[in-house]
Amino acid sequence: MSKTYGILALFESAPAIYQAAKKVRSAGYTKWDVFTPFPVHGLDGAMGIKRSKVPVFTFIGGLMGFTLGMTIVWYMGYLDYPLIVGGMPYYSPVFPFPVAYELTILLAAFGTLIGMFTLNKLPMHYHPVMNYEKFRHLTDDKFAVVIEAEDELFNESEVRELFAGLHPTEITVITEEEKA
Amino acid sequence: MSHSSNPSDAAVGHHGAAAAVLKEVRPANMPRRPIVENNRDFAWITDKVCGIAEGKTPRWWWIAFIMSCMIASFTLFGLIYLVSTGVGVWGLRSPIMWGWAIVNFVFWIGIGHAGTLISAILCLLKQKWRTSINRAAEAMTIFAVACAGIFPLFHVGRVWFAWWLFPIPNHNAIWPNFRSPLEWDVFAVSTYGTVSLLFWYMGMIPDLATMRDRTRMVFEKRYAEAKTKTAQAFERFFFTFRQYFYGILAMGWRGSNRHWSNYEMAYLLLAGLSTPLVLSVHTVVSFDFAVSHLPGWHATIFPPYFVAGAIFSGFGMVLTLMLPLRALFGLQDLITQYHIDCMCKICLATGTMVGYAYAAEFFIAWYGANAFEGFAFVNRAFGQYAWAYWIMITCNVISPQFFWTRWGRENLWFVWILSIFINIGMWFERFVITVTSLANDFLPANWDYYSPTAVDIFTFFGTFGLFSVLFLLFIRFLPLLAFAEIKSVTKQADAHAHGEHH
Amino acid sequence: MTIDLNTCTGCNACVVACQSENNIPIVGKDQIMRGREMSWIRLDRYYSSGDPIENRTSLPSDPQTSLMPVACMHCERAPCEQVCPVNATVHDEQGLNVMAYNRCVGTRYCANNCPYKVRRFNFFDYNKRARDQFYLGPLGVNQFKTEGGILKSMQRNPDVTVRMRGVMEKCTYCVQRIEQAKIAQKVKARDSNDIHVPDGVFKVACQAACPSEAIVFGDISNPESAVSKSKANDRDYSLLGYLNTRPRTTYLGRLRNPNPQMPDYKPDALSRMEYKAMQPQSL
Repeated sequence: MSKTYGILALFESAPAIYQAAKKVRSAGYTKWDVFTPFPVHGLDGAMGIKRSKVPVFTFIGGLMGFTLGMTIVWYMGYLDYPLIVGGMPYYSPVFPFPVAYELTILLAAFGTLIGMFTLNKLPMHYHPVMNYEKFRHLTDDKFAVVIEAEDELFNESEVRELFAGLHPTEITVITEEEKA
Repeated sequence: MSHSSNPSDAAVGHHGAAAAVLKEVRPANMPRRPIVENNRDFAWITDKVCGIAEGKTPRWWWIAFIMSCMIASFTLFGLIYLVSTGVGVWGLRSPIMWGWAIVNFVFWIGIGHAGTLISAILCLLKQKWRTSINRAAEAMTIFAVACAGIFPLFHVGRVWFAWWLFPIPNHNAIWPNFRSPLEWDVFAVSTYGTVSLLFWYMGMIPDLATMRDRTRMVFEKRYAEAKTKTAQAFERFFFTFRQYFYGILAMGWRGSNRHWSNYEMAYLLLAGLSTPLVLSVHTVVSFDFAVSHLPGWHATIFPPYFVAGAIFSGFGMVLTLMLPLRALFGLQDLITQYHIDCMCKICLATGTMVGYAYAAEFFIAWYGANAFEGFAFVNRAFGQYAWAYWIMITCNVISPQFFWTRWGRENLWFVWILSIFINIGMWFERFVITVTSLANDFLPANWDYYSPTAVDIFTFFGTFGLFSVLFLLFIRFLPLLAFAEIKSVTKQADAHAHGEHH
Repeated sequence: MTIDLNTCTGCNACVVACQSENNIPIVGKDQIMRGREMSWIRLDRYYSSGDPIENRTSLPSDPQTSLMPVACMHCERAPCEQVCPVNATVHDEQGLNVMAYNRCVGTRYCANNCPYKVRRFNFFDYNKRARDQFYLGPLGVNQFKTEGGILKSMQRNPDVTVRMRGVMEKCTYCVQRIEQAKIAQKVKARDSNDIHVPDGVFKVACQAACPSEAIVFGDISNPESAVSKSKANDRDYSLLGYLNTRPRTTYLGRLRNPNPQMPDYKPDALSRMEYKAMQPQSL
């Protein structure tokens, strides 16, 4: 038995998907998404998506990296095994800077990537949209809007009517397999 | 409305002199050169780029691959001989304790910097033309860093203890010396390799997803062409392999705009992180020299000079790689003359910066009135390594000047040969810096002359084989161009363009 | 340490003594030609003529020789210590620049940064392999296991490590002799606190061998020691002192222009021809 996941409308151009997204957003739906083969400028605003939270992860990673760098140099050179090197002080904030700087960037980069995967809930190798027969075009040359059945305002005929007003190439029902 | 053909008449019009001028003058419409020529659509772009990895392996690829493996074996055997017998198999001698190995290290790291510049710095500067070359350039970076990393690892006397450079607990309970630029190198180069890899991979995820989604279509086409039972069995195996290979790496990417939103932010952040990274990594590598006492090494100009030189040599290598690939795979509409123009202009700019740095070094050596420093520079130009110095000047300062001319940029054979000269010149620059300062330093009693041995030479040329092996594998299996990004900078990608018909 | 260039005759006894004391390997003619001599102290010779212009443009026909024995200066602000990534060369509280062979990874950055170039690198297993088999590596004979090799091992100083390939080495101010003297003093002192080694109790190898006592070594924290008095001399200077490395080995400059009006003036020949001219004519 298959369950309806949502309804998909297929478009051929970036301006068309932009207009479609604005329409769906003003219609008040909350559980919906747009699929594009590349990021379309302005689409985030049209969909009402807020600014991404990835920078938080980046910042935390960077802060951790910097502290780690300074701490290991201080601990190793000043506390644990101080050695006289060239008559220089055991610790100064200047010479650890390259090490701390590189670790800042390294951990910030890890933070960014982990943040992006976490916020996108990836890896997710299966998603109902992949059942769509023309799904391969959504990562190639076509654009789509999907309104999920789980949305409170979802009503199949209303959604079809809304889509029809946008003149898509086609309108399809996306189903997902029931878990046994 | 009456116009006068004389703009000055309009300037003294009745009211709104500014409006009158605008109506008359009508500035010419300067169209921007297109990033993708011949108005190719999205499907064409995808087919063109994915087709490279999806089609049958061309025969030239096999020949190149086998030759590259053979050349890479030189490095393998050279290193085995080195580690089993001792550093003495190289041409090093007192006082020149760093020879070809460190020159090669800086050479390869420098080449890698262009990839990060294209990906990160040009992204922040909103240069749309970067999208055709950034994937291959980043791949070049990662493979160049792999080749570079061989040298600092193996040039040490006791390679099996090289892990002591990392702050890892050991049986002596002693820690590394964080004042040493070699220690900074450990962190800088590791960070650079890792972050470049992460950036390259993240950038590839949407493209890998596209390739994942095309595997069935590709399989059906190839299976239909397979005539024998073995060919069909191979196609089935290859299909399964590609499904898993692209499927796992694509992480389940589906093109959702909610995902693109986080992705674009992460991309921008990685670009913003990679920019100071690329500037700092070659700065730290330059500190290997600048922090020491030697005349000719002890110079504050080294950080910007090395970074400019690295970008210069990196773009040279990008041109060396991309011009043949563009011809072999028919990518002229995606890597256009505009792209080649931009790359040549960057080579010209950075090459001129390097030339300026040479002149500045000489000036400061004279102006500073330090006898050792002054001698070091006169010795570079007229001493025992003068031959290397003048090769460097010819290849680095004189050759990129040809890019001022349109002919110099549009004759692609000429550009390709010049790009090779650029890299030869940059190798010689590192050679001149490293060896002349060591060979003729403070006390004349220590002066000597360094020549490489056969082991030095073969180990170095073998790394070109290693680089080629990795790059050929990249061409064969991964998307050569960042086609999702290319699509996003075409005219059709603009959501606010009018004139769209439903 | 001070080295008096006035009394140094350039006899090379210090070089030989250092080699015997510190198990410095003999690398053979081929490796010397390739610039890999291992001596920790060397004798630099410079040739000049009396004419400063001629010095720069041609080889002098009647050269004057200047000599300088150069070993590790044990700089207070050692450029080598700063750049070793693994802390294999650091300073101890006595002021020696110590070289930890077992920590050395062999990056050779210290040798590059030394302005005096006193550091030596073990390019091959000079102690383990025969002189004509360095390039064979593991396919060569392991001398530590042959009878001849074991006999040779008995020649070596048991107080000094025998270095393997890949390791830097340099003059250690005969640290083994310093430590032996310190231990002997502590044994002698028993419960009392008198552990300070008196001046002149021991000599380092080069100092002991020098026939004209040009090398003076000791404790500069003791103002009465011979070396402190030597350093108080007007002629005392540091080699490449402007680099601010603060070397612990300083030189006492050679006098080449004694004042003829002094009562004990004796004319001194600066070159071989001058010396020959000064000899009484043979009959």
